[in-house]
Amino acid sequence: MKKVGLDWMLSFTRDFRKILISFLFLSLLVSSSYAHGFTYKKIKKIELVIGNSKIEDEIKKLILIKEGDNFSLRKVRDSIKLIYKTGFYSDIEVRIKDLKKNDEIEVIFLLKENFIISDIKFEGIGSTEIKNIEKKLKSIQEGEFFSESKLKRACEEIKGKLRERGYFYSSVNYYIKDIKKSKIKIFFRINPGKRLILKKIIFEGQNILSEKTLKKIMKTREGGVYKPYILKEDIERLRNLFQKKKYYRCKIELKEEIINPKEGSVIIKIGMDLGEKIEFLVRGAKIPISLFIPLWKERVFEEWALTEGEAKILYYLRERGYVFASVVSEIKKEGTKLNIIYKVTPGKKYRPGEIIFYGVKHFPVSRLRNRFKLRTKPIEIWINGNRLFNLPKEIEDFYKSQGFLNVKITMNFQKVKNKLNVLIYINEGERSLIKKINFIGAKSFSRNHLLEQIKSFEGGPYYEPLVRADISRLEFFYLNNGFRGTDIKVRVKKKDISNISLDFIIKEGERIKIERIIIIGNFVTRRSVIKKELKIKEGDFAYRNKIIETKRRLEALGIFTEIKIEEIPLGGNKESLMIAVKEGKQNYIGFGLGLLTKREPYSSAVWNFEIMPRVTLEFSRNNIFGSASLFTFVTQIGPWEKRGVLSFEQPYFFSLPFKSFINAWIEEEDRKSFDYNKMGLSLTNIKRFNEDIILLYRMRWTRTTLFNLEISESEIDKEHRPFSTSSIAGTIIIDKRDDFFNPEKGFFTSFTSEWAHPLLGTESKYFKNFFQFQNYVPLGSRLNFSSTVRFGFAWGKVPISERFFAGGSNSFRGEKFDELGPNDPISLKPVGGKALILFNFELRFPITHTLKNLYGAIFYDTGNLFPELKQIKLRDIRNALGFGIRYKTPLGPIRIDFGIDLTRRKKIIPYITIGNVI
Amino acid sequence: MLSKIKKVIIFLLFTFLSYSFNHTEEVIDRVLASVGDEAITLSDLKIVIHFNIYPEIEKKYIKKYIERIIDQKIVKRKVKMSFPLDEEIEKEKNRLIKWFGSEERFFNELLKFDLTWDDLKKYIEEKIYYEKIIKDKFKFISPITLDEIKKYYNEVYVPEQKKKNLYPKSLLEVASEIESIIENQKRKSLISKWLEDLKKEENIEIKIKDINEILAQLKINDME
Repeated sequence: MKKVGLDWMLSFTRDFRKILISFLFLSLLVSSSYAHGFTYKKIKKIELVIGNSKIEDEIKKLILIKEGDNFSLRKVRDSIKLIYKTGFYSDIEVRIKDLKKNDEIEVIFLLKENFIISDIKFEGIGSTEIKNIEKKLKSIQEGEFFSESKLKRACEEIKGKLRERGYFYSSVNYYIKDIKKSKIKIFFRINPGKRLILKKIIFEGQNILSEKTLKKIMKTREGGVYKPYILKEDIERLRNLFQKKKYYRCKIELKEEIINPKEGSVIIKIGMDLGEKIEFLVRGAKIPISLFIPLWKERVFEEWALTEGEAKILYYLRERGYVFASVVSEIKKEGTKLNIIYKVTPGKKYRPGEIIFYGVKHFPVSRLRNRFKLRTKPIEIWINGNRLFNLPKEIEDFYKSQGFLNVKITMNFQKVKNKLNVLIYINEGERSLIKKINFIGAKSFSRNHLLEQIKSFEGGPYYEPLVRADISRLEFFYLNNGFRGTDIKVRVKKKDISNISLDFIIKEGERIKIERIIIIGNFVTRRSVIKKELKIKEGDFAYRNKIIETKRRLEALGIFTEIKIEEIPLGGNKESLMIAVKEGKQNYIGFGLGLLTKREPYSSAVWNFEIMPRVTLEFSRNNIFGSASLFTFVTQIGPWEKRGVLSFEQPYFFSLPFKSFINAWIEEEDRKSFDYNKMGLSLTNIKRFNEDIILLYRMRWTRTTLFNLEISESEIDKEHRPFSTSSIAGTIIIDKRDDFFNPEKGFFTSFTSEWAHPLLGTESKYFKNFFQFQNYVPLGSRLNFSSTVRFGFAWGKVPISERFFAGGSNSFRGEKFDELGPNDPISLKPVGGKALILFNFELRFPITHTLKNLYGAIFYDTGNLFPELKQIKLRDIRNALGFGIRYKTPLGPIRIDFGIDLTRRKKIIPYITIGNVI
Repeated sequence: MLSKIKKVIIFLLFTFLSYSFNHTEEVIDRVLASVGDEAITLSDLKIVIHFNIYPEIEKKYIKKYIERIIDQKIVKRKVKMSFPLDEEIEKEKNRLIKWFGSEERFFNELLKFDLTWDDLKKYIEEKIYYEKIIKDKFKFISPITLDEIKKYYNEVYVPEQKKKNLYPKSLLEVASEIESIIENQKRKSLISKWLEDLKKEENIEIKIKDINEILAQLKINDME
């Protein structure tokens, strides 16, 4: 039996092996043709899988094959690329299951989710070192997508940074923690290892200064811990030292680090190649050599550096009125010394005279003067001779843009005593004019419609750069109307100079419709919030300008760190629009420390502690409830004021496109004549019409308690305190300044009207209006004239805390803060007023050419504050005159002003402020 | 009786195996590598191999294909230049038609891969753009010195000739040939360094852990 069983098993195994081999062969044969065989198979089912979970519907929209379609390898490949492009998936695989029935297959998309790095932490080193690494780490950052290659690069970068700080034997590892489904925390575990002791510093290549002197300048010390980043700074110090000794081209570098791991020490060799000592000699004029030292710091062609130096000297002199200066240069070598000699003939210094044009036929001369800002009698302190030499080219370019392609400009000078008249001779030549414009191949738009898009016009000048710009305009026009793939060329036919025809040859592309809009990446943000910002919808044509506007609106929400909008062609004049967003961090905590001064600074101001600190703490949470709303809590604490503000900001107000803020606050402030506690609640809506125009609407309720009154009770205008106010206000703002902090040109104006009415048990009843206008006019040569006008009028019972106050560095620089206007007859403290008239005028001028941000100013302030409208009297208008210094900073100018009230002849009052007068 | 049971068991096993083999999932396409947010897929690789886009690379060196595609994508992203490619594309098309034997065969092969000529053109455009940029950027390199030629002659040429049991020619006879070799080597080294520097600024991922896996997938799909 056993033997039979064994024989049977053996024979079965042999047969089974034969069957198996035949079967495998058949399977391979069948599967080897699948790439092509599947093309005609029908897709019964498409499945998408991330690990074990199902996938969001939006991603399904990126799959270009559909159930019921024939299989297409090309569409599968394009789908993989589209899904990968979103950035949300680190790996994608597509599998096919042949169902062997009715020629049907199942297609499975396997996606591996990509993670967003929510936090990066460092372990194993001190907080100072962590800060140094965190600040400079470029290869990996919070908010980015995670990838293995980034981690590896980051480890190398961290090791590099540690090495700079002296950790030569560091090791860096990492581990990852999942916080939520799509976010991870990365922990870098650092073992800094031992540092090296610097055994010796060896200098090679110079004998000008002793080693002792060189080592004294360096912070790197023998016997101390070796830190390459400090050595880098030391090398810079040594370079500066030798450059001060006129070795401008010195090359100092770390040549070698000889490390002894056993000893834990290092010897460094610093190579020094000083080059020649360079002496500059300028004869004939006083020219700062700082002008041309930078030219000689690199090892450049000497002839080039000489010529550049000459150009700099001429530029310098011409700016100062030496229009006919000339320079000759030479180099003399004396051993290891190089003498650079400039012989300058400055010529006479001239004041600007007249600018006279000859030969101008086609344009009025006034147009040229306005175009090039040429004034015959400018308010200039220095003549800008450099501008003169560029003028002929500027005028030539202008004429050419007007079709005068063969214009010739020459400039001459006429010396009249110490004035210089400039004579400009213009030979205009013939004008090239466009006779006809044709659009060949344009089917979708009428000729007139296309003509409106371009700057060239029939009867107008022909100018090639303008025509090229017109091609771009037409291309954008087609894109903005949903066309893609439009090709535009231009053919210019010149019969004669004034008979030119332009043929725009247009190969119109396809007009594409948006079939589907796919939104992905919004893990927190509600889809409806994103949809509200879309300027384009499914079924629209692919208007490029609306797509760009959509992106801008999404960016303006302030909740995304990255927004990608991709157009995905679907064929047949259709496309999908994919909007991939990356949400930013939601929580923010801030801390600030500043200085506050309410009193005018006197020489002992600091010692009298008139300048006090103010602390600001801020917490905000962005994108609350996924609605792009912002919640903020700010508190400010200083010696004269305390404030706490809770605010809730959202991009819409009940679906209306008005940004709205709900604020609740408590504040306490010490004013000159009273102190107050105030709490309030407000709702503010903002509508921005365009870049320049904003409309604000505000409803406010406040409850105020006054104390420490230094004015009579009757001035309070209320019988009881505390008192409540409820008001509504509207403000319109038009801001056309070129810069918010440091405007040079343009204007700002605003008008606010507030109506307080007794509502819900409040006691207020007044009507208040405030208007301001500020204008900046550049006058050339860095001169600037600014003017500010302010009017404020109020009627009714206006509580003191709501009245107008004036006086101080931002309103009237002839009085102390808040002290312009009516005072309490007994305490002489300011009580504010209901009518305000203020004018401020200021002329700002440069003080020196070297410090470009330093200016001087003279100002004139006039106006007053009146108790009531009916008490406005012109004879009560006060006047103040003064001067000041400004230093421009990115946050506005730091102003030191000295003003004197001309009307009352009080003493000069100094002011220190940051920001412009407003 | 035993023989009947054997047949039944074999039949059942056959049925089970045939079911499981014929219902396994097969990988049809996947991401092999990426440059930034741009994926390089298995089907991209199949296309460039099958259509002989890089005739200078041998089919078995899959890694070289992938590296070449990565280099092309980096150059396309980092170097923006505009020049006509139509002539070179037409030349390439003619080369491929010749390689496949006939225009009909060429278009049939395109159909097999679910491609149109415009689809394949994109791969060719990318290749030509890359080659033009490289040619333009590395047109001139520093002249080869006599010392370099001598060094190559003594350290490389002569030993190579001796290994082959050949009598080495004189320096004068082979100098220009050696100069050309060194120039190419220098050029390659410069190109390689330049590409490495460009790659440092980009996020490049290679997803393949095992090259054999890819080779297997390519074989199963019957690459010629």
